[in-house]
Amino acid sequence: MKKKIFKTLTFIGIATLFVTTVSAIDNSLELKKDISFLESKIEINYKENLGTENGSLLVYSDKEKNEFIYKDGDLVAYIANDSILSTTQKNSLDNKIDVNKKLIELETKASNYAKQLINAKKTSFDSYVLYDSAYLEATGEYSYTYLKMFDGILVNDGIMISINADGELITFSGAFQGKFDNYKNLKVDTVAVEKFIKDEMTKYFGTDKKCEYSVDKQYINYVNDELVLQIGINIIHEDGLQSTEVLNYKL
Amino acid sequence: MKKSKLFYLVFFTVLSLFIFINKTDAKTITVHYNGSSRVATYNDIRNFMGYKYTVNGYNNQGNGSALNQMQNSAAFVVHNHGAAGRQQLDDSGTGIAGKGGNGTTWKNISSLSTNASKPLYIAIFYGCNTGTVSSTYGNITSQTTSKIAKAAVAWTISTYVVDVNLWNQYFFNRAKNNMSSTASAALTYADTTLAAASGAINATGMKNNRVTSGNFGWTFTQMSL
Repeated sequence: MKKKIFKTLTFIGIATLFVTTVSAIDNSLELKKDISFLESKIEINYKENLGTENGSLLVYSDKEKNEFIYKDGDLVAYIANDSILSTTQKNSLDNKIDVNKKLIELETKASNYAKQLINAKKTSFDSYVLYDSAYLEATGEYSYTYLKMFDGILVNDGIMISINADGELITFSGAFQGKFDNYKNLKVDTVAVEKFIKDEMTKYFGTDKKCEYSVDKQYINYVNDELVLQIGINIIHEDGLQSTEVLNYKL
Repeated sequence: MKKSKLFYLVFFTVLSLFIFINKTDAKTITVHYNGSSRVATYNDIRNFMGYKYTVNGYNNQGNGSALNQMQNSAAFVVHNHGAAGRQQLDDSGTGIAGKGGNGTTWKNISSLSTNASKPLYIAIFYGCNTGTVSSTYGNITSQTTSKIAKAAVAWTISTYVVDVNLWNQYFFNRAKNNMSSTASAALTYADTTLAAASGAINATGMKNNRVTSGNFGWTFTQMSL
């Protein structure tokens, strides 16, 4: 009799645990999604969560093993499968005729991809500017970054596009689209920022100022849910070695 | 002795031998870092690669064994201050350089004997301007690949600790989860995932200002053998 009760309780316990786990999974994430990506309808399946301090990054893949990364329900990255990546690495423009013409074509293609992907997020590509581009020899990628700027100050709302020598999309990543748009008319008090940097760096060095510093980059960002001007400081030490610090000026 | 007992005895002996052989044959990954802010570089590599490799971390330890470690590791990673052609290993200011160092404060990679079999699969020099060529200290990546490494990576900008820690996490995550990936694919994966996590500005810095030398077409399966 005791054995029977024990067996029944064990069964109920396992069943409850199973149902709870399944419903928890169902509530927290979609295991399968049907999405539109660059005018194609694709079915993608959940693969893994690359959790970071900045939140969850949910990785999905399609049947060809291309990967799609979601953050807060938003598609923030696409990475072509390994077979495409390894082909990209082997091809370059070296074999192409009229390289300069081809480079212009590639930049136009990258910009078209960026436009399509930004439009899919129901926002406009118009306020983005080409911030940087490069050819990456180790991977064979032609890399283009488009960023938003408000009143001459960069905003952490950008899109990175990589294409191969044939103009095929290899990767895209774009987080925080439209997140700062309410601050388009924000005026940053440059004099106050300068004083803030000076004060903070004086605190940093103390009286023993044997290093020199300069502002490396600054852009509007969210840090711990606060709007800040994020300032990267490059420090040159006495022995010529360099390091960096980050200051956050609250806006 | 009962048959079942004999079976278990043989099974556990074989298993122990297998574990012992695997452990003693494990390749090494060496990670030099500096302080609690950079320890994540070591922790992530240990967490992702520790199942297959012996991962040795050195916090703020000088260059005494560095060249020897480079010759005996499958991967050699440093996260510390940098400058053109060189990288610091400890707070007293010793480190490694492409060439031109005095051999004590700065040990030269150029002093290593060339090993044509390139046993070091990848050297990663996370630090400010480590990839910039110096007239005194030379080119740290090309010196490394010309001597002992299949591939080497460094940067020509001021790098930021948070970006480096994340990029490193994604690179070695790929190495663990998809061993058939090439090193080249892992670079792409780390760049793209960093942008997804923290935005395009930081990721563009790490991606478009990276200097590479050597061949990135090998897979992490090949590295593990």
